[in-house]
Amino acid sequence: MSLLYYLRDFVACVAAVYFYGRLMAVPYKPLLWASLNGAVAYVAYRLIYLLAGHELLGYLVASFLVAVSSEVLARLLKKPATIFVLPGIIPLVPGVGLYRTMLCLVQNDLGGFVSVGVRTLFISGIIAVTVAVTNAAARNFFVRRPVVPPSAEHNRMPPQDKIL
Amino acid sequence: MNTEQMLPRVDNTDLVVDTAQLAALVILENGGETFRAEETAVIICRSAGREESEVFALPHGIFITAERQDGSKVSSVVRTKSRSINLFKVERVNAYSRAFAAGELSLDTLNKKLNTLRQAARYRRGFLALVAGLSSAMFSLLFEETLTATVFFDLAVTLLCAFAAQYVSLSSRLKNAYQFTVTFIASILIGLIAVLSVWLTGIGNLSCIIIGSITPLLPGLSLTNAIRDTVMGDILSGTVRIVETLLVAVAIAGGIGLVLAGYVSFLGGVL
Repeated sequence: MSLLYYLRDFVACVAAVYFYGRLMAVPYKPLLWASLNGAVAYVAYRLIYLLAGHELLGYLVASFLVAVSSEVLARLLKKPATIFVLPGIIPLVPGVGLYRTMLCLVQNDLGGFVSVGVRTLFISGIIAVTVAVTNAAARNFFVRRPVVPPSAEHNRMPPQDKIL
Repeated sequence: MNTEQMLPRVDNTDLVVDTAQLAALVILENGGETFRAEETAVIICRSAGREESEVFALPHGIFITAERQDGSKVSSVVRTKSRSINLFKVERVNAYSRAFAAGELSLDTLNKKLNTLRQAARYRRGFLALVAGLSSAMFSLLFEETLTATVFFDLAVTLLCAFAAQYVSLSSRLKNAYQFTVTFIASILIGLIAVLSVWLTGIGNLSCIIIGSITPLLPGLSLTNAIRDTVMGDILSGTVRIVETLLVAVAIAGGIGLVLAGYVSFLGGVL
């Protein structure tokens, strides 16, 4: 029975990320990979949460998974990593946390508001930092081309004294 | 030797500055990071042989200065006007600037291509709203705890909520409104539709409907960009974007919370 739920998670995630990517105008072919990426990461989060019983660890590992596989896909398909990462992390973004935070406020539960709110803030911070640090590391350590190329000869202006 | 090389070259610094600025502008207006915009403009300036050019970008504007052949300087400032998310355009600008740096594109062609790209029509409003609705419906399916027949009701309501929210927030009347206002209006709409349909029919899972519907409004992209800018050393842009993210989150929570508070107090709803 619980296998059915994981299957449901996977299929719903692929579809959700695919449509969300269309909303952000990601090109079709990279988007298919990005949605698989997002679905795998979400299921990984669920499994880690189930096995280790630790929510933050699940988010950390899942977003690291998204970031690393996006960098690999970016190298393979010759596209910027951004178009794989941004749709991929969407299932992890804590919309539930935001909703619960707001619910606590509506029900006048200020203690719950603070604890759920801080938790939500930390989860979204963890996801964003993991993705950003992985991306920065990949740019700085695994890129052979210089980030800013030396001035291309063909476009260079002739020296001043040769013009007239 | 062909004749082209014999002729004195006309100073094209103005075109270089214009093109670099256009590239940075397209990236910023379509959801790219600030450091990426800055880097692209620098690549274009350097590839065009302007080593002394300086670029400074913020989420709301771009400043560029370059030197002419006679030593005088060209400066240009431009503000980003519209903000939307279109990763296809960001990807294209990246590809064009790389092709230019590799010598596969001339400066004129690059400028023309960027202009065409900037004015390229986006998808129709109905299509974007439909896609957002489908995505939201799938997200609400993800959060259902039991799979019964009422799930289909939830999916249909979620689709309707997210469609309406996206359709309204993409309206041309709200084009110049601040993002906070647009998100606030959209989330009030989501709350109203969700609460009314659950209250009138008596079935459905209100929290699943709302969580699914707000997903397209969540500032996931702008938070990721904020942290990326910060990590790349662009602290100022990072701070601006983080504040923006928090404001959008507050707008969503405020809009939904307003409706739910009314539901609990006036209609006797149970959350």
